[in-house]
Amino acid sequence: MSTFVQISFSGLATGAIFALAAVGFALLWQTAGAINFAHGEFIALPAVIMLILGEQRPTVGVPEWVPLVGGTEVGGPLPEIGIVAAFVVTIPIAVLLLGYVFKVSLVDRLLTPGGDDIPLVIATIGLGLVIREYLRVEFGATPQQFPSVFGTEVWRPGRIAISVDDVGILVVSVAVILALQLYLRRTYTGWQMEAAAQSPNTARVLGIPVGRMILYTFGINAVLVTVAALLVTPTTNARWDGGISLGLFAFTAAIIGGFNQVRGALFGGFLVGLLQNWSGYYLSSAYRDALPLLLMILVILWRPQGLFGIAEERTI
Amino acid sequence: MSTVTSAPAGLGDGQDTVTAVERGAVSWRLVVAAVVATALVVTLPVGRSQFAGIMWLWALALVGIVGCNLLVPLSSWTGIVVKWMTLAGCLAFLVVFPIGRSDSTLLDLGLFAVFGIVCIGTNLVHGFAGKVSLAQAGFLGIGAYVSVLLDDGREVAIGGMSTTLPNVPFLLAIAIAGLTSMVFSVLIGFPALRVQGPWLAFVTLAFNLLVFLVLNNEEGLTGGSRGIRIPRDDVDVFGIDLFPSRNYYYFCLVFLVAAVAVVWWIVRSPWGRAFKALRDNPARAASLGVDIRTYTLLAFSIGAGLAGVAGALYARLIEFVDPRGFYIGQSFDFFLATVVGGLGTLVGPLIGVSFITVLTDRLRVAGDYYRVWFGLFVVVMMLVAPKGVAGSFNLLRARIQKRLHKRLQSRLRQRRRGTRETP
Repeated sequence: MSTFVQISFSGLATGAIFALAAVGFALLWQTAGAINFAHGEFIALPAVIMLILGEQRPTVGVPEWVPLVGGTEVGGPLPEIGIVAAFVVTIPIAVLLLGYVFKVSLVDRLLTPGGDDIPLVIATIGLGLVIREYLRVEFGATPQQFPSVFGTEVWRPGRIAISVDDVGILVVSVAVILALQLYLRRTYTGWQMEAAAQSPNTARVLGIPVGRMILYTFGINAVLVTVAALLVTPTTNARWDGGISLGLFAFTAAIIGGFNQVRGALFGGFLVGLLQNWSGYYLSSAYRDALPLLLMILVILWRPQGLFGIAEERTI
Repeated sequence: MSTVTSAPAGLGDGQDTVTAVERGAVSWRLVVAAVVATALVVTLPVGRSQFAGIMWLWALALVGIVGCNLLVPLSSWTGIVVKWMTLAGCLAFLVVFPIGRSDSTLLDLGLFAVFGIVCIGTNLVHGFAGKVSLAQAGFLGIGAYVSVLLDDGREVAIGGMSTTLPNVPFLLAIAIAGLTSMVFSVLIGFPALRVQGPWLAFVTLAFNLLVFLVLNNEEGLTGGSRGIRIPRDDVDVFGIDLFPSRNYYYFCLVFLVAAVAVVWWIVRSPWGRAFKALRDNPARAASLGVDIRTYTLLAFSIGAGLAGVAGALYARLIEFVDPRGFYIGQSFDFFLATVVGGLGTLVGPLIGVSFITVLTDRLRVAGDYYRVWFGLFVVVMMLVAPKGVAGSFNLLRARIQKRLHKRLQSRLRQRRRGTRETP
């Protein structure tokens, strides 16, 4: 019994991170109709930025492929500011790069209203490749350790061992998602965003700045992926190809839970985390990833709106 | 020839061509130019010349062929002659180039042929049937492992049972590999092809990862992450020893040409027209009585079958299989290569696949950043030329033809006016 509780708890912690990633993914789909295949890389990139800013490689240089000034180090070593401060600094960078620049340069150009969504899918797969390979070349192929915000202590109430890291992850991600939900449900801007997501044309008629609302969701997504990066990287380590599986499980969680609901993505994330841990312990550790994937295939085939989703008019 | 001489002096080749085409004759100047350029492309790289100028000449000849193709309308006699000659030239190049090359170059070329087959399959599924499949690496893996297991009487253990597999001749193993991939594709495709666009991409992606997990973990069957060595020294087909790299490359090339021919035939057959109807407007196709599900399933399974055949060839090409070669990233590569080359065209996949095989080592300027640049290329291409290299080429040709035609019309009008005044 104690093993079961222990496994379930760490599954919930993993699931909470998937939920964070899935909520961002679902938000973009809901409001902008954008499917981002580079979502995993959007989590891997802030992790590396935080590492570089935080402690591991405190020197900023100009990469060698930039002509003329390539290979020079600029400004000397940065002060070691610790991971929390690095996180704070990374958020605006992520909002700018992964939110604004991503939206303006790719999504706005490739996603025409009523058009095909495959071009954006292709472009984001390409973008994922760019980020992955850039990290591989610049950051190196070996995974690097990433410090945990909550430390590595383990609590032992009774016969159960619970790591502080897991508790912290669970608390922070649930808090972030609840805050987001409150923001969407209780504030005026939140209502406007919901309206823009549900019916852009009506919203526009009512004077809601739909474009700006969509931009906000991209910003929110950037913040969510940065938080996810901060929480997940201590367990997975910072690695160039970490994004592939992270992204895949974010999609899986979003699809299982239901694309059109923040709530759905939250439960989807928990379900994926729990399934992974349960099947990893009780069935076979080699196939811990298989069960969520099978469930995703079944959900897409028989309940495309997701387990917790509400059927939409959109045909898929 | 007569048309060329009768044209007013001072006109360029382009105008001559159009004049010639208008009168239904062949523009010999262009044909000769194309012949010379093709001959240069084929013969220049023979042997291992250290003379750098040769490469420039070669590039110039390539540009010449492309130029010839741009200048002629596709439907004219000249256009047909030049097009077929270009294709024959490319094929001759692929045959002649390997002579006297090192084994590593031949390995690169072999990868080009093998992955070319995969991308031709991807193109059939996406470019012609309009379905996004991100499981091509999975089907490649299924084909590769099936062909490996059917060699040498291997003992396999799955679950608690163990059995000895028969030793099957290579050609038959290739066929079985293709068929196995097709069977799997029908199993996954039959339910999955109901969903559209990105959702199908997710399903196929998940399937690819499941295949990877099985390959990685069923040690009794696949050898797990250590992989299986599979030397080529015992393989011969119709008495031809396939151990030398060059022989094996030609063997793969035969399959590549066959794959192109199969897709060419499919596209021109009633099937192909059904595919096009499906891709352009599924609802209308259905209302016209096209059985959507059967046709997409056919395209999907043929694409997977091609990947399976390619897998069997791939295993013997690199003489080693391990699950990492069939991970999702590889599927992304095939997909992006096909898109970059040009969806829905015959040569597009081959142009695209050269970006992920032969060019990776040749473009030294990019160095380690090669794949970063490739990704950027994909992104930029989606923004400015979503039809890929081959598609953009066709668009460019159409535009040039339009302009040439307009100029020709005004010339003719001028000349008519001129003849009325002079007599």
